Amino acid sequence: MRRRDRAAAGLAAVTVLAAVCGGALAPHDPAASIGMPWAPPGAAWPLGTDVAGRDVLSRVLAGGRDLTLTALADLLLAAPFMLTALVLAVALPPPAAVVAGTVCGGAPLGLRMVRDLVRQARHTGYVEAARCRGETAVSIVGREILPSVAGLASADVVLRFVLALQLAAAFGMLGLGPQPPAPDWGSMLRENLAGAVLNPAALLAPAVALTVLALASLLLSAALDTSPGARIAPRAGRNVPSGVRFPPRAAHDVPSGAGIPPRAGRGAVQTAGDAVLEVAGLTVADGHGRPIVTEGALRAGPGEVVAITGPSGSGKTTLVRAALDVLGPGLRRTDGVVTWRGSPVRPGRDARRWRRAHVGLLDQDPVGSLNPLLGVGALVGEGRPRRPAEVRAMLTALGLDADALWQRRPHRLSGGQAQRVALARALLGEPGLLVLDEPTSGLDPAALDLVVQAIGRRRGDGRSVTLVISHDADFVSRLADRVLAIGAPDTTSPAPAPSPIGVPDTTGLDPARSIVGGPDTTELDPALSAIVAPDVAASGSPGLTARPGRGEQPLLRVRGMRLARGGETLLDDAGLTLWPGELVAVLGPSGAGKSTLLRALAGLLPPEAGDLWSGGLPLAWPLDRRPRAALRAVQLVGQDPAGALNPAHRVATALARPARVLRGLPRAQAYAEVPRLLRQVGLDPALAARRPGELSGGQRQRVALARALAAGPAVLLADEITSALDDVTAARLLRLLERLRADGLAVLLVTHDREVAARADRVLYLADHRLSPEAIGTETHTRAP
Amino acid sequence: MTRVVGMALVRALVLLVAVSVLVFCATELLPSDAAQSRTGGRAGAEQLERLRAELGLDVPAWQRHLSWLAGLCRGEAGTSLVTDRPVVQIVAERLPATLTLAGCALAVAVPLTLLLAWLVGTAAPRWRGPLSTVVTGVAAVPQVVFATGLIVVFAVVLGWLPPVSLLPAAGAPLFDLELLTLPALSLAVPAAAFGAGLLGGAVADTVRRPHVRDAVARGLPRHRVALRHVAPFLLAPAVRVLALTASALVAATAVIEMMFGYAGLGELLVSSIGTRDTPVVQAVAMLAAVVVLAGSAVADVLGAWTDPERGGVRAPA
Repeated sequence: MRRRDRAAAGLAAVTVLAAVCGGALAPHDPAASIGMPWAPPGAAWPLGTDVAGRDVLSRVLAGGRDLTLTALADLLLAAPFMLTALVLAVALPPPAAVVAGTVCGGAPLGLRMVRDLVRQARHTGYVEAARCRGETAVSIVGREILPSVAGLASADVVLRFVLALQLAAAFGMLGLGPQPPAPDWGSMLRENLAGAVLNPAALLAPAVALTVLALASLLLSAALDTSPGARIAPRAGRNVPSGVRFPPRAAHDVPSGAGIPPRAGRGAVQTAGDAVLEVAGLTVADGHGRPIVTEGALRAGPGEVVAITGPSGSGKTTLVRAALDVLGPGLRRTDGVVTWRGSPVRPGRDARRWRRAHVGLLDQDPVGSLNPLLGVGALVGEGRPRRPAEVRAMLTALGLDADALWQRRPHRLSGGQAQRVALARALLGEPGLLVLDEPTSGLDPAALDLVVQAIGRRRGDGRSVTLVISHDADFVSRLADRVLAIGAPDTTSPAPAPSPIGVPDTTGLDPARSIVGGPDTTELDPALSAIVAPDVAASGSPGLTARPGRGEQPLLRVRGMRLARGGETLLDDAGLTLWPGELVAVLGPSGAGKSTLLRALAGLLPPEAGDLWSGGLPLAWPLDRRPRAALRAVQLVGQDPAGALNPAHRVATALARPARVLRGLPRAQAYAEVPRLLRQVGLDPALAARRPGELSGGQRQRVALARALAAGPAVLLADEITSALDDVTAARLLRLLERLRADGLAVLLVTHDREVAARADRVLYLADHRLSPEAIGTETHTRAP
Repeated sequence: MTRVVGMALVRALVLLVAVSVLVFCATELLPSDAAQSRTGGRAGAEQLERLRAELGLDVPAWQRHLSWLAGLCRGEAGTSLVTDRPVVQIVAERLPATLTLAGCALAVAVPLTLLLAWLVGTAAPRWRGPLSTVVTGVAAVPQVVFATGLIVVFAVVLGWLPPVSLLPAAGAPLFDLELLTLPALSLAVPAAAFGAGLLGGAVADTVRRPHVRDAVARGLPRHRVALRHVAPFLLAPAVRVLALTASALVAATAVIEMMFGYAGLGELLVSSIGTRDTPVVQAVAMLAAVVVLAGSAVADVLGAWTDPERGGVRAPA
């Protein structure tokens, strides 16, 4: 508990205690008349007297007892249903648990809350991790669910106390409380309202007492609620930066001749004359004033296509977003000048109007950027002074049937259609500045061709500027007139700055410290080591990057898998093979079923059909039919660092558990491994004593990875593990995966970021119900309109 | 859609029957019955038996409950034990006053809820914490304390408004701002703070969605982003929260009407509990239950209809 929380809890305890026991301190008999009615405060009666000449102070001191006790009694009736329902949640299917909880609780608000909690408890990363370890239902309830909701449940109990208190006060006010001579804060309000002029204290004292008790309870409730959701909102400013960032090296221009030569035969590119877009001295800082981008510069002449390249974490997207004045939360542009066609663009309204009039932007995840409630016509034409005919022409030019799709909403478009709609929106009206953020990651090959054609038309038109942010050197060399390379932060990193809240984060995976290939890193189960052991036989499968010196059998092999979710088929007749030491990336549009695929492989969500082999032996899909060695061999790391770890458990507890359950290590030995696991993922072993609420998002994600590694897996299923992280932390995590692969770990990495996928040995593309090697499969757009 | 409406109606009806059982049981449990209160404790055992038979109190409770329900369906709610007048008539006299008060309170509470929720949800991270603490704090202060504070400030200290809101004789217009302001504010402000605390989180979640960020990046004016890209996604949660706010407000009219001496249904309920006038208590409680259940049924239907995530609003195929 933090210091402020302890203070709140202390204050609340004192208040409740005072409310219950205050009567003992009363100087007079609270029921006896000792003076004139409504006498103003004096020596004998510090707060004056009330309607019947009784001492206000004594009555206030004594008046909280019945009220508080009544409220507590009401509370006992109201509280247990929540815990009952939560315990039932694991044993019963969710609807039954909700019914059971609601029958006990009754209130419609209770229904909603219980339903949310049940859903939350079943699907948090830590409950799923426990299920993947093969723990029993009793153990999951006792070890994971009850401790994690204890804080929330007690916070809820206190909130119910506040409600009960309000009710009790209202009852007193209505004269339904204790019988008249007995002191009660609610009845005191009623009795003394008429004498407010004569002795305001008689009215104010019980009012203040009630308010203090209610507010103190509220503070206590906030202090008890340790759930990540309750914390992140108010502390967002503190949580955003994870660990330490390195200020990237200043951007430097690489003339096209030096870096990547432009393709021959493109014709002379007009670069003469003044720059259309000029960005100078651009500096971006995070919430703590530390620089993310320093002195960023960018210059583009008329008709020029400028590519911005650099490794993950170099801040290339940040540079462009800062120039457009659309930085994400927690980042701030502190300095710099943006000039468009000779006139400065100031941040704020100026920049907004400029973007609206002159900028077309295609985001990394173009499909996610479409408002699900608008039709195609409204999506494309919105905010631009264009006639519908122009919108139709643009849609037609991109190969879409404008009339059929005009009213259609994004959820009824195929993935390919949605990408083209987003593209049409960016290209409509031939914007003076077109910004494409990683077009190769969000677009399928067919849509990408359309982008390339559009860029070709813009090139050298003497008017427009195109910025392409990409990591893909091949792609860039086909398109760009000039390449702006942004320095890699991980090659020459300055000394790490002190971390924000005194967290001894070891910043980065110091290669010297995180042992690679040492005897005690990622030790494997003897049985699996046999699989991983260098049997020196090339893989027999065609089309695979055979990794000589690796196992003869694939670690995972899937055939004929059919996956459905909510009645909708996601994958049909899919196959997959994973060899030791291999990094395979799975790309695909949002909602195509990438995460569902990983969850199926992990055993959390058995598919409708399909066969699975592990190391040459058949393996059952459901978790409860998998042997312990198989549970251990396959580990899943989820996308959401906030829900991955149990808020009630210290890091050491979370990391020791897999070793105890899956590897059968004794308690002391399992805990002894914790520092090594933390160092391996680049964290300070001192973090072992912390709870997830005291970690940053990046630290939490690395702890979740360490927990998966603690089992000593042969296969790591990683679901968008970098998407919630800032660029620098993400780059570190990927470097860690590279090193682990050297030890034979196979990684199946789901991502939507092609830059991440570029590190993989193979890339699989999941779209239109198929899982295909991307080089062969181009997406078909035949999904029924 | 038909299924959603049907489900909401069935749920509301089942809950209404359950509430009627609860109300009936609660009034059954009151220490004295109608025969005792009529005779004022002066009758002998034989006389009481005769009166009970006359009033139909000698049949089993479940039969009386059923005939009471049947009477309600026919629009008959019996006669008052205190005044012998038909309950329907007594309730009808008080209804306009409470409708006026609740209407004024809602007219303040609904816009205030939405405004506060918007402020909390869209505040910069630095301000969101303190702001939501203040809103929750206002919601946590007992309503009677809040009303007392208003009376002290506006009636006692400033003397701008009367401390009690005694209604004029029959026939005079009900809508009198001087009488309505304090009770309506006492109802509206805590209810709005409660609703804003619930809705603020939904606002904060919506403004972080990718299509909203994209709309900002495309340079759309603020009001357009708010109306077109944020507001439609808040419709479903807002309807649910407002229904909750409204039912909390209806429940609170009893306390507030008592405090201000405002002769509405709430005051009738509380004074009838005091005189053990069970037919009146039952009728008023059932009326309140109908209002609250109807509100939440409407909220469920509207919520399902406006919830884009459940595919509620769909263009015709």
